[in-house]
Order: sequence, then C-alpha cells, then structure tokens
Amino acid sequence: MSARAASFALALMCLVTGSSARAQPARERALAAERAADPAAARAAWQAVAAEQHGSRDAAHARTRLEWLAARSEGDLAPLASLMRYQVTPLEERTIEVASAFAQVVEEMPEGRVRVESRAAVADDLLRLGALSHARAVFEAQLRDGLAGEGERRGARDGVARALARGGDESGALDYLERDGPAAGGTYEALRRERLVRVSTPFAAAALGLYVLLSLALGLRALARGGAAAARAAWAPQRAAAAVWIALGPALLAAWYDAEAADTFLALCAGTLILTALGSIAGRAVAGRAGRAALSALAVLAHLALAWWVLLGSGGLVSFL
Amino acid sequence: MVDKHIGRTLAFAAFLVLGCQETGLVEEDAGGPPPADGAAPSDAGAPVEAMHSYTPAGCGYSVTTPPVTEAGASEDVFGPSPSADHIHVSWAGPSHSSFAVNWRSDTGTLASRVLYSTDRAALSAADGSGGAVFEQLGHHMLFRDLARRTTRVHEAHVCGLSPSTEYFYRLGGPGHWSAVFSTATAPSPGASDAFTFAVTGDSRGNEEQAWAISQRRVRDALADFELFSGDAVILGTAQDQWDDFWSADDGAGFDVQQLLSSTPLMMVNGNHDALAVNFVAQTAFAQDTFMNERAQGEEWYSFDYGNAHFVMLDDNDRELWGTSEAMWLEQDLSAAEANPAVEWIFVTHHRPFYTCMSTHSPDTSLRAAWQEIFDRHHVDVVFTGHNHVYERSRPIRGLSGGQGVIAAEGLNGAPVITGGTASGTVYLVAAGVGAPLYEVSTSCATTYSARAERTYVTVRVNGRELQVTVRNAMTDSMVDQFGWTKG
Ligand SMILES: [Fe+2]
Repeated sequence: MSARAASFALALMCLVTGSSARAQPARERALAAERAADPAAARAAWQAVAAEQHGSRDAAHARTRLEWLAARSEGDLAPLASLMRYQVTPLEERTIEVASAFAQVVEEMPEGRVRVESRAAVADDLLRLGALSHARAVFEAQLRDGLAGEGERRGARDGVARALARGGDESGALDYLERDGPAAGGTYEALRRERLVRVSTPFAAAALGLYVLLSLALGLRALARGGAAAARAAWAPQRAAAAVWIALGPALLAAWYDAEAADTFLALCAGTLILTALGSIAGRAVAGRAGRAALSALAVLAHLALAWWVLLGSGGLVSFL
Repeated sequence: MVDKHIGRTLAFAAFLVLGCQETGLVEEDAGGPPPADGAAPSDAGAPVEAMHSYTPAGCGYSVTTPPVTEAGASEDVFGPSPSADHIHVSWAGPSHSSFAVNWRSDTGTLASRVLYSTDRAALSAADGSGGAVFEQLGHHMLFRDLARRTTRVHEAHVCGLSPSTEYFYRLGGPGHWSAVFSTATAPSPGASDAFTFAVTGDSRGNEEQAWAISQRRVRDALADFELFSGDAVILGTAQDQWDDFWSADDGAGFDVQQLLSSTPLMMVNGNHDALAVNFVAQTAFAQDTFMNERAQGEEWYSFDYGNAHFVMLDDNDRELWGTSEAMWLEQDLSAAEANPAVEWIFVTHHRPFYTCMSTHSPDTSLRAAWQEIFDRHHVDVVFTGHNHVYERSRPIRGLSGGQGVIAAEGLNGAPVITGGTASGTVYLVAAGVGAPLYEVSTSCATTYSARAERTYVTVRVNGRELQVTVRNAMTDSMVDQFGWTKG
C-alpha cells in the first residue's frame, strides 16, 4: 500500500470510528435517559443522534423518539417523567399505596396525552389490586377527558364494567356496556361467557343427574324383569361394537391428528358410551311411544350437558362463546 | 384446545368443498421439478395453478412463489387503483445486506418494482433509477381465498446493501410510485453493536385493538425487528382477516403499516395460520428448503442479526417436527454454535412445551423432539405463544422422565453463567395481542412467573449483555424484566 493510500485509509478510518464514537454515546445516553425516566435528557440526546447520524438506523430511531416525546411534552415533560417512572416500577412494587399516590398525581397533571395514558396505566393497576371504586373513578374521569381517543374511551368503559363485575354486579356490568347500543369486545364477551356458564351449569347438572338416576332405576328394573337376556339384548355385540366405534373413532382421529385434543375427545367418548349404555338398558323398561320419546329427549339433553361440561373443562369454550 | 379446531374444522370443511389447492392446506412437493414461469395452461374447469421462480438481481438466492392462480415477474401493467398497501418488510437473505418487501395492490396491477436509495430527497423526486436511486424488480401473485375472493400481492428482494444503514424505498412502477418508506439493515455479522428486537404473538381476533396498540408500542420501543410467534389470524385461509392484520389501526392515527413498512416482521406458523397460501404468499422468509419442508422452504428458517442467531420453527407438522425438522435444527444450531460471530441463540415457535395450567397443556412430544437439541447447543431463550398469557420458566437444562430439569438459577430467575455459558434455557410464553386472554398459574415447578396479561416483549442485546423487558401492551406498564451477562 502506498503511503498516500495508507494515510487516506487512516483518515477514512478516523472519520468512520470518530463519527460513530461521537454518536454511540449520544444514543446510549438517550437510552439511558429513557431507562432513568428522564425525558428531557432523552430529548437532548436524541436530537444529538439525529443531527450526527443522518441516514443511519439510529437516526430513524431518533426521529421516532423525538416525535413521541413531542406529543407528550406538556408541563415541560414533568408529567411524562412521572408516568415513565410509574410504568417502570416493577409489578410487585406497584402496590395500592403506590398506585393511589400516582392516581393523585395524575389528576393534578395538565390536560394532554400523558394524563390520558397515565389514567389507563394506574386504573388498570387499581383494578388488579382490588381498589374497585377508585379504579372506577379513574376510568370515569378518563371518559370525561376530551383528549381520550376512541380506543382509550372503550378501554375506560371496559374498565368500569370490569370494576362492576369484580364487585359482584355482573348484570350491572353488562347493562353498562350495552347502554350505548350493541356492545362488543373482549371484556363484553368474557362477561357474557361468565354469565352463560354460571346460568347454564345448574341446568346441565340437573339434566345429567336426572337422566343418570332415572336410567339407572329403569335399567335395574329391566334387569330384574328380564335378567341376563335383557342385558344381552340391550348390549348385543354388534350394537356394542357400533357404539364403541362411534365413540372411539373421533378419539382415535384426535389422537392421531393432535395429541393435545385427545383428552377432550376421550372424555367425551367415555361419557357418551356410558350414557348410551344406560339409555339402551333403561329403554327396555319403558313401554309405549310417549315414555320412550320422553326418555330419548332426556338422553339428548344429558348428552348435550356432558358435551358442555367437557368443553368447559377443556377451556376451549373461551373461543366458542 | 377447541379453539384451534374451529379453524381446523372450517379449513377441513373448506378442503372438502373447494379442494386442497384453494385452501392452501396442501403445498406442492418441495422436492419436485423446478416450476415453470408464468401461469400453467389450464384445462377447462380445472383450477389455474401457477408458480414463478427467479433469482432477484444481486441476490445470491432464488425465490419461488407458492402455487397460486397467477404468478409472474413484474410487468408495467397498472389497474385502475394501483396504489400499494399492506406494506411490510422482512429478511429472506442476510439481514445486514438485504431486505424483502411485500405489498398488495388492486388485482389488475402487475408492476412490482422497488426504487430505493439512502438519499430520501433524491428518491422522492425520482421516477426511475439513476444517480443515487436504484431499482429492483420483484414479482406478483394472484391468489384466491376461502371465500373465492382474489387478492393481488407483490414481493421484491433488495440485496447488496451496506450494513447499519437506513434505506428509503418506494413501491409500484413508473408514474405510480408509492409514498417514501424506510427500513434499516442490520450491523455486520458478529458486530457487537447493541440492538433491540420485539416479540409478539396471537393477534388473532384483534380484541381491544391490541394488535395495533402493541405494534405502536413496538415502534416506540425502537425495535430493530420483531419476532411473531404465530396465530396472526383465526383462519389462515380467510383473506379478510389477513387484510385486517396488515392494516389494523389503534383508532388514534397509528396503523401497523407505520411499523411493519420499516421494521422486519419475522413470523412462524401458528396452528390457526395453517401455513395457508395467504400466509406464504404475503410473507418472505429464507427459502432454505430441507427434506420435505413445505412452503417453498419457508416453513422453518433461521437468520442472524449482529451477534445473535434466530431460529424460527414450525411446530404444527407432527410428521416432520421430530424427523426432518429436527435434523435441520441440529444442523442449523451446530453451525450457529461453531460460528464465532454468534453469541446468542434465540428460538421462536408457536406451542409452548413449558406452560402451567393454562388452556393448552405443554406439548410433551414436542419437548421430547426438540429440547435435547436446544440443550446441546445452549439456546438462550425460546419464545412461544398459543396460550394467550405471559409466562417465564426457570432456566431448564435436561430432561428426567420427560420433565424438564431446573438448572442453577441466579438473581431473579436468570441462569447462572459459567465460562460464558448459561446454566439453562429460559422458555417464554408471551402472546395474546388480540386473542382472548387465558388463565395461567405459577404452581408448576418449572414456572418462574406468570400473568394473564396481553404483553409485548422487547429484548435488548448489547454485546454479551441481555435484557428482556415485558410490558403490558394496553398500559405499557412493566410486567417482568430479567437478563444476564455472559461473562
Ligand atoms: Fe395457537
């Protein structure tokens, strides 16, 4: 390499390393300031990054961060600093005392994005910590804030409903969400699901219990009357084989297709087989079309109740309902 | 476990009604003869099926489309409203020297060009290449979804770029260029430059606009790229759901394209995505086809960023995960471990094999197939979803009777580092930016912490130092934070 080329390479190297050595601290300074919840220092450092690192990925980051800070600069960044401090407080340290104190700070904040975002953060913690009426008050303040966006307002409405439901007033929560027309969203669906499960469970238990008791009683009567012949007729090998195949087929398919689903299908199959076996022997003790129809109808209800329970147990109903 | 069956049952019904090709359930045999360019001649009544294969100029790799209704090279043909939307970037080649971009247009537009430059002003003024502005030609695809609705998407691969540089780009063709977007290349391989990546998953359903909100947070957290652990949509063959995924907004002026047009989104297949043609046609990942691998080699892949290696796996293919995928995984991780430029190894897949009392129980057969490979190659963190909760395992290394063995544990559940190696792998479940929240428990021995919250994860890698921050996507409050330094 000629001396000229070497000095040129050296100059180039100095230029490259020099500029990154200057910019690297600015970026690190900015990130450290963000971590330390010091938005004013972060803003100054990002401005330095944007100026020095034109065209780099750091410059793109600096632009993003500067826009973000500018949108939250009310009160000379002091409200933002307190929100950032609150948000980085570890979950276990965000106790009722800490959250209540911050809620107080939030209500004294000047109007702006930070106040809206602070309410969303603190109200969620108050709700999690069981300070239901305080949480509800913060959500309601959010709803009165003209700067809250549509998403934030929906979040606040959901929050009020969750506070009501946590306090035991499930139907009040649903009414609240339905007040302004058709309601939707995760909270609404979850509340409706809970109510449906609570209301339907006693009916399912009653249908299943009644059917099992009745078919056991009738089955015993059929056995007492007809003895082994009745059992052989009710559970003839072909019928039993067909029932086993109908019940186990899906379980086998499930096990082959997705092991995770096999337990659910096995529970369904075993339950279905037992209910069917009970019904077929009970049916021999019932004479007349009306009686058999009634027993069949009850059997259908019992099967539905069984399916309902198995699906509830599998947890999969969360996506169905 | 039933939720997945809705998708599967519907997809199966669609399969019966429409045939495999329309649902995207069946991919072509990846080992078959190279496909011909352009549309294959069709018999009357038979579904038209086309594939297109080419090597993008300057890229050292070839690109093959999935079988679709139409596929071909960019042509300067424009429909009545040719403007690009659903713009998102990813890497199919080296992250420090390339990027891939996908977008949608009206069905009549075939122009699939990218203009790019490091000079924003020059690019804004340009109608073609010249000076500081360069051009790359991509390809277009037309596919039909479950509802037989047609969608035209485009894809282009830009290569030969400089590391750690922001590139501005526009999409379309002469006279019809999009607005200016930008993305940035990764640092040189092995560089110890600090970087941040985000992890999200299970956006399906987009409840509470959590998908868009999480993406706004990811943008504001300055992520250089994002990993997505699967289940973008409820039904992978329903294009309207993908349309929502690529265009969701938070109701306050942010739409996900603002992030995804600049921050590469690296995805794995979830059980709901079903590796549908929609998924494959709208994303671009490395086509490193391995034995029996589907989706033209995009079913599983890996990439490097700075001093880290990322492995993206498909855990929905029971036939393959313990056979060819495990073989590929072993090879890929061996190479990564032997590569002196790699300090960190992160794995992403969909179904957790460490999760506690949530809707889906841990997948023990997956654990049996993969954990030993993760252990041997000292994977640092595994990211999963499927259970819509947040969960962090204790460091785990080794199996005893099929159960994970808890390794030496340092401060705050972090692994202990000896000679630069961590005592165990930390397994995260962090998903639910849109899917219904599930319940979870901390009562399992392998669980360090668990919360039923919608979270997004950011991971800061700074040389040999790692910091993982988990925040609530809705409130941005801290949910968990941990990390370690490798000596
Ligand atoms: Fe899933």
